[in-house]
Amino acid sequence: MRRGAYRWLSRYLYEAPLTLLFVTVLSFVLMRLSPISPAEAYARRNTPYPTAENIERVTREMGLDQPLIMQYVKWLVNALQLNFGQSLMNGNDAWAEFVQMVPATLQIVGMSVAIQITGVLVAGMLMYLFWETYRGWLFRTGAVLCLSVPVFYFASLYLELFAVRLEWITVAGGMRAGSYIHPAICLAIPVVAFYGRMLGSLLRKEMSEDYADYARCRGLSEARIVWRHAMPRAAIGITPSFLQNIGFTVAGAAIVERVFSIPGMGSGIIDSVLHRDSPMIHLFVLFLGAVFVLMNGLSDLSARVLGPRRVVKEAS
Amino acid sequence: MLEIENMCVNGKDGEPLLKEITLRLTKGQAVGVTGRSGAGKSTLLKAIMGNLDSQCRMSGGKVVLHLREDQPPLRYDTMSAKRRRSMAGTTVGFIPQNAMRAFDFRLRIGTQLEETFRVKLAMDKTTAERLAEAVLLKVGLTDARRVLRSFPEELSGGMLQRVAIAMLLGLDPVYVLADEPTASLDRDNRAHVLRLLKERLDRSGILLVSHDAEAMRALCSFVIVLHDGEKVEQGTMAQLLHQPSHRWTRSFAERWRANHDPSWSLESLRKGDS
Amino acid sequence: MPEERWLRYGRTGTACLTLLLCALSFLWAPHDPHLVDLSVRLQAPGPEYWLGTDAMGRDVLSRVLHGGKTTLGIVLFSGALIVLIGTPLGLCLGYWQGRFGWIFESLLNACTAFPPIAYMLVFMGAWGSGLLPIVTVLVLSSSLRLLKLVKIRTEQEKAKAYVQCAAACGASRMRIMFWHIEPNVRKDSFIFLSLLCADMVLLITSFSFIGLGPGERIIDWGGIILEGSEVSMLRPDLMFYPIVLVLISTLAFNVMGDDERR
Repeated sequence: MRRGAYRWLSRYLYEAPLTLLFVTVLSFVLMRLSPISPAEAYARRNTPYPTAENIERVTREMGLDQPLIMQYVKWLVNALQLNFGQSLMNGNDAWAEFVQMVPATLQIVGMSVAIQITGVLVAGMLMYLFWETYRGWLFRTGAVLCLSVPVFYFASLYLELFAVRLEWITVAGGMRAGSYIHPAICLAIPVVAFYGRMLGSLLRKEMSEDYADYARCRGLSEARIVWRHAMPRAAIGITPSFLQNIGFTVAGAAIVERVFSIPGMGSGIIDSVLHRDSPMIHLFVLFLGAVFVLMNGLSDLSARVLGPRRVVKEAS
Repeated sequence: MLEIENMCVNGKDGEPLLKEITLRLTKGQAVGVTGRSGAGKSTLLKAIMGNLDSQCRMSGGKVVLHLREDQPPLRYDTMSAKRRRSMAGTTVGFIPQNAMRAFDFRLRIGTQLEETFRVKLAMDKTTAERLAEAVLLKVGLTDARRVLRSFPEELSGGMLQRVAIAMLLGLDPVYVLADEPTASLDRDNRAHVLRLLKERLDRSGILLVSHDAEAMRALCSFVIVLHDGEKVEQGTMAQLLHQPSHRWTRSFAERWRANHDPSWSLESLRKGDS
Repeated sequence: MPEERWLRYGRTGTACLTLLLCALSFLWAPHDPHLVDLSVRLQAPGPEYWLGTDAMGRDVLSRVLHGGKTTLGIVLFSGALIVLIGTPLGLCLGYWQGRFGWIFESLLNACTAFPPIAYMLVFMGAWGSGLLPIVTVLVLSSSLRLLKLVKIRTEQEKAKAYVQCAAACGASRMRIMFWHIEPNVRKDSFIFLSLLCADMVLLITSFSFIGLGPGERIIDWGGIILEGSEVSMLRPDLMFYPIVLVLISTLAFNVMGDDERR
């Protein structure tokens, strides 16, 4: 295992920066190839009818008249010093703006992941226990339905139900930790539906294996076999995919934050995209890229570590 | 005495897998069950243990346990699943057919033995570990400490089969259901396992499902032949080998004779089914 | 077992039929979906406007039906392009054993590390929203993922006996790839594509909802939901109707891609 681990690690250490490089280059190139140049977009925002002279001046100010590679290298060098320029929307330091938005999103994602893990375990057990009954069929159908509705609709319904109709939560000024749980729950719904069903199916498969049969013949109770033998194996089966999915949760947080009017990173991304705020977009893209690279790495690592023979925790 | 009376088992489309099987098992006696693959031998064992596949059902007959003289007989088949599960292992024991697949490959042998003993025999961890070591020594695995620390994949089929018997010895059930315990073993391991089973006869009754004529001849006082779910013949192994009446038994006997008596020709092997 | 296969084809067939209906339902739209008539705005469902009218007096039913044309049109068109681009390239890359294969593999891994949503954000940031950016980004990002899948499967199949026999018989590389290997890879590709299409429907609708949709003049479900959310106090049901069709379409794709029966 040692040799394989080193090989994997070295491959990861060179693929990860490559990926980040790729995504930032892509973002950069696309921005420059865009039909509307950022200088023009900026000029249009500040002056109703910008003249060609205005645009040219802004172009020079933003350094957009230099060759593409120079621009990218300059950006990269600055980025390594955490200097991402100024936001085109409000002129504030891009990094400062970003740092302000991050805590909210991290809290939402963190809470959502915790809810997801609990939810998947519970849903998986329920799906397994009731698999061949009518209730099980209802659960499975419910799961597929949950996966066929966009997350923002859950968020809207949720808001409609709890905020407007029942007035259990307030929407305005939602910076308190307590209010982050609502978007966290909405984000968790499709994940619980998908992985819960997968876990239930895996549990069913595990419990029909030879070792489960022999355990029954030895007289161990179903509960013990499920919890101590089948569940760890099934959970290990879905862990790599689940870890990778956390990256998607971060991306999905964007839309949910919008619905709940939370000024987190997700709203920030959408606003930047709507206003073509290129410095912020580059920064967000880099961050998203880093999140995905990290999660994919963890996912690969878990697949390796928790492979078929590695014992994480012995049943006791 | 473990009594099976007119047991009928139906499969998932209602087709009969076992028809009116009756047999008796007493302590100190070994009964053999043989027959073609798919004749219902494993189904019989599963039905007795209460581990039939979810779509199969026992549609008739009884399984009765007469444990002690002074106690009323227990209906094993209509008992609650929980109670039956608690009696599994300690009253009705089991030896699996394919020991290589029967153990959880994620856990060490020691952990699995110790878990079973701790739960079924209400022992604490240390006592369970000591028992595990003791029974491994009893089945002839002299390097017991190493075996306890090993994962199932690190041991050979023969060793794992002996571990399964060690598990059984630890649980010490009155009745033992053995599902082809010598099927995947070489000659030495086979001899070892047979010896262990013979020693076990002092304390238990054994129901031996097997294709191994030698094993059944050495162990069983009585053998029944199943064919398509029905009992078609019974007798001692010697009778079945030398005076077979059913078609399958005849071909079985011929194959045995061909293996042990070179004067018989290959021609006689070509007749009959598997 | 023949019944199981019949059942599977039946489900897939029903799903396809449903999708076709959703996509073509605009042909039965009773009114012009663009027709603005402020005098009948926000009417409740009635005999003339079966689902009522929206804030601009347009018939909701017609708009919802035309939304199907847009959303499913994008999805199916993109899907076709993705197959046409991803499958041959994946087969080639999987079968071809070059010295510099690892470069492609690293690049491919780098590109496929991100889901379509990340690409959507990047592209939209550069090019704004609209039909062309949406289709471009979906096709580009998803072709790469299909390519990777096909490439990996091709590599697996390449080691199998039937391929080696074919090669020994003198079959050309093209023939081996497209005649022998491709049918065995098809099933996984189909499942991937179905689930991808389901994702695309949700993605397009979600992006439309936050304002990054196909465009002002183009009707799509997300846009209708967005408009509905603005008047949700007066007509809370306006958000619901497009969601029903979104649900049906996505469900159909999910059902087609359900590989539980493998």
